[in-house]
Amino acid sequence: MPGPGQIQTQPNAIINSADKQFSLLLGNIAATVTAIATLISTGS
Amino acid sequence: MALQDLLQNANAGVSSAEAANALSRNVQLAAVATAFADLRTALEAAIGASTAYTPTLASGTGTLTSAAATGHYITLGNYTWVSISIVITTNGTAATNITATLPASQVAATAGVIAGAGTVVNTNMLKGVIAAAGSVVTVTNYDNTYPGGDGRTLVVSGWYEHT
Repeated sequence: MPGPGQIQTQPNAIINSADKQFSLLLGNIAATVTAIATLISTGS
Repeated sequence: MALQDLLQNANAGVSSAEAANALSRNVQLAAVATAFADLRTALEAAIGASTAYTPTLASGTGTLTSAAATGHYITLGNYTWVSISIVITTNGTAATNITATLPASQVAATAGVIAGAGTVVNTNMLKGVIAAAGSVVTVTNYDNTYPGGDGRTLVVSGWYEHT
């Protein structure tokens, strides 16, 4: 139990937040790499 | 921990939600790997080995009796880099300029220019003008005079914006 003035951590909330950020990162990487490949191939 | 271990150890404290998340991220990582593979393919096609082609020659006036051209190019997005070598064995009545077909036409919005030089007999700097929407490069000496003649080799190369 947290002492006075301490905030109890929420491991599941932290994990879920990190996983959401990781998911967004992966999506952005894939989209960016695909956009670069298309730009090189077609110019747009 | 490997995905398989996560899934197999569901009874050892790994929730089904965590296993589902891991599976979802695995799918996303596969998509990233595919995207990088596609990027490598695009880069290899764009800046790897050039593609050979045979430009068709003509002259501004008159006719070339015996001449041949070789060309090669790469394409990077909207731009093409091309190199053309023109070997004139017998000039005939050809005069004014020499045109060589390009691998792709110039964009309509603007003209293009590539540079060159005579490498055999003619040692002048050459200019290659590509008209807007043009499909050929028009080669003259730097001073607009005719660059051709018997036994001459002309080389032009450079970037232009293609359609």
